Amino acid sequence: MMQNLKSEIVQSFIEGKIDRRSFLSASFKLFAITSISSALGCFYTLSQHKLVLSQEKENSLYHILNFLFPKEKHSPGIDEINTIPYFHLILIDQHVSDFDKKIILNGITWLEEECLLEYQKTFFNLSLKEKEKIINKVSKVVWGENWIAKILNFTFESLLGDPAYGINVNEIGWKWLNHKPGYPRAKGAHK
Amino acid sequence: MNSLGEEYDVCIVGSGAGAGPVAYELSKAGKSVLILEKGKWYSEKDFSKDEIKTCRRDIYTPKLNEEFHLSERYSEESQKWESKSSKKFGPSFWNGNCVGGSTNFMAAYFYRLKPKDFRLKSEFGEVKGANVVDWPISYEELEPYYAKVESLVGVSGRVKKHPNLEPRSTSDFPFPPLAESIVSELIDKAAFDLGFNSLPVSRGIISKSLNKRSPCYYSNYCGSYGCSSGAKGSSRAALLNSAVETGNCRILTESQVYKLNSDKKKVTSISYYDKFGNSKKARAKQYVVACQAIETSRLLLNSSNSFHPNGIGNSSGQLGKNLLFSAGGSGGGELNVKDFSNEIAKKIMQPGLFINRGFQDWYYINDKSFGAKAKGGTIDFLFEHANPIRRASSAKWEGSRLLWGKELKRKLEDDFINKRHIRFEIFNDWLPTDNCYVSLGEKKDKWGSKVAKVRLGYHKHDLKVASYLEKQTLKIMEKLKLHNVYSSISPNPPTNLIAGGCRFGDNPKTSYLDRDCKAHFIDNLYVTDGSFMPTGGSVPYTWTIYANSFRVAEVIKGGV
Repeated sequence: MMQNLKSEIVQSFIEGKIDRRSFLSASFKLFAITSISSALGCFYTLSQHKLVLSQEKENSLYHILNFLFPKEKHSPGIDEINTIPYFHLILIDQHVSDFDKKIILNGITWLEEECLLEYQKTFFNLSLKEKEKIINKVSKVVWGENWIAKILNFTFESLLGDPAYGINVNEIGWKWLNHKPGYPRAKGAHK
Repeated sequence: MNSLGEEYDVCIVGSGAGAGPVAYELSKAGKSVLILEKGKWYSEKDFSKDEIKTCRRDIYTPKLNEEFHLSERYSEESQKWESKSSKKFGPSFWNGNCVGGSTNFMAAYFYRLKPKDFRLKSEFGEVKGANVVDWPISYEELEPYYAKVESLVGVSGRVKKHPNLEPRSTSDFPFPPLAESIVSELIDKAAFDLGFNSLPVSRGIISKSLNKRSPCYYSNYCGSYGCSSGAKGSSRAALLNSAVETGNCRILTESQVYKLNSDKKKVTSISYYDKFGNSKKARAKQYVVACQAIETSRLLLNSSNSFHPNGIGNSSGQLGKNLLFSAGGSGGGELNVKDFSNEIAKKIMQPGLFINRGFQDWYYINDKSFGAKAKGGTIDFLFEHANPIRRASSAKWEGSRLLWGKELKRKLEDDFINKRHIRFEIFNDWLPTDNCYVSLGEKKDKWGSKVAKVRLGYHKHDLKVASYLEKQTLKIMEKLKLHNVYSSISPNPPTNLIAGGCRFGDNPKTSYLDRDCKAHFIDNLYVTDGSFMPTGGSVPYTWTIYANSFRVAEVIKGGV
């Protein structure tokens, strides 16, 4: 899967579908995923899997989560807690149900469809006010509420889970919220 | 002979609270014991305070797309019983599949039943629409075994006299109470001002060393987590390790039992899949099923044959019937550090210590505003779980409105830094009815066995009692000056407090088990988990399951 993802990123860059900044950003994320995967050892099945986060969906999710959980001077954002690489891993975690994985992926598609329908723009290209309006709108329907709640919960995992998973880097989430972890700590993902 | 080339004295299905005492007593007595456990064997060193692994993934429970439950609830809208699968939206009743079962992950709030719980029908009369019966044994018969659990499994606490205190054969607990938070004092004061009896809650957690088990180290992550010191009285830590050390007890893990084979009067062998998926058989003189109430009924129903077309030993039709949960509800509120001096605030926020306070002033209700005298229940106070991910997940809601962005972040900061959440839980009898039972669904699990279909009907009286207890609880919450108090009385069953389905009794027409928890119509089949209970009392069940299993172990010991 890593190889496929890498090829996809490189191909997109070569074909001019993504600019240099996006290419570097994607490459960094790929590095982060690879690092986390390595830390996780053989737990995750890094084999073929249909429920994966495509580059397009990853870009969408990145902007959506940046809006839902924005970085501030004194509080971490999703880059610092490795949220996007963590979502890649959630999608290949055999202990996360396919049902949840489908909710995550379908929600991204449906939100982008709503954006196009309402504003003829992708979520990324919306103004802050438009983003607020569209998120507010979908949060009032069942699928939207479930989906936002779900992706926030997984974001909280990356904020407040054990850094052994490659998330909550340097315990930044725990430090921000003055949280004391329990001992013994995790030895690795699900270990 | 089985695949191990042996015939055992006793073969036990499951390894939790109902299994541990039987394995312990019989192996100590020199009898050969085989335990078939579907999960893995973890020890203290395998457990960590990893919230993702322990509380948010199915590491210790089966994957729901492979092994699931069907549950039926009555829809007022369609006027029908509607079925849902735990694959999607329906409740899951798995609570820990590994050696020691769900006792590894229990919070271990240990309460005894009271004498009147054994004769609910005689004391309070019939309730229309409920199948209330007296137990075939008395509190006095079970009391020595409650005491045995205190010393062997390890129960810490302090006896405080109060009007509803049950009789005891010993003056106090063998283990002193666990260290308490300043919040316990606040509750004591509130109770005193209200004229209520605030009680120290005993716990199945040792406060000083016992054999190879270390005392509680106040990790702040107790309920739902495996214990890393062995302080928690899991069946594994407290009993099975000792049983295995005798050399007489063998535990086969990742062994999924799918059928008890029988002739007309006896179980002849037990069929299971080993860890490689191979079908195997084991034989013993006596068989004990103790794999938690729903799964026990399901296995016995799945063990039908030409002698027993409706499930093994089920000529009464009682198998799976009168399933029990714990009725009641829960709620909570917040202590805000800004309301206290720095010194007190620091103590309130100190992690690790327990509240361990409960109320049983209304275990029996004698209040004209309620109606006739009735059975009431227990109220427990506790800190909300320290789990930060779950806490953040709750904080993202403002009522029914989802928060995001900066508003969400400010809420998280306020919640984590300024507040300590106090919870209460109400336990009252879940009355047995014809609408709460286990049957077999048409769908099969990954092993090819029919899954359990659980009808989740409740009696309205349960809600009436719970609401009465809620009113009393809210008086205490108000006195504590908690913020954002919430409370919910619900007919939804807690998925970790399950009993009944194989009720015991003296009449074979109205019960599945006899008073010794042996199946009426099968000579060598016992059930020792919570399935035997005809009524549940108004407390968590674990201590009673342990005690009864010790009682039945003596009977089985005499028979082999």
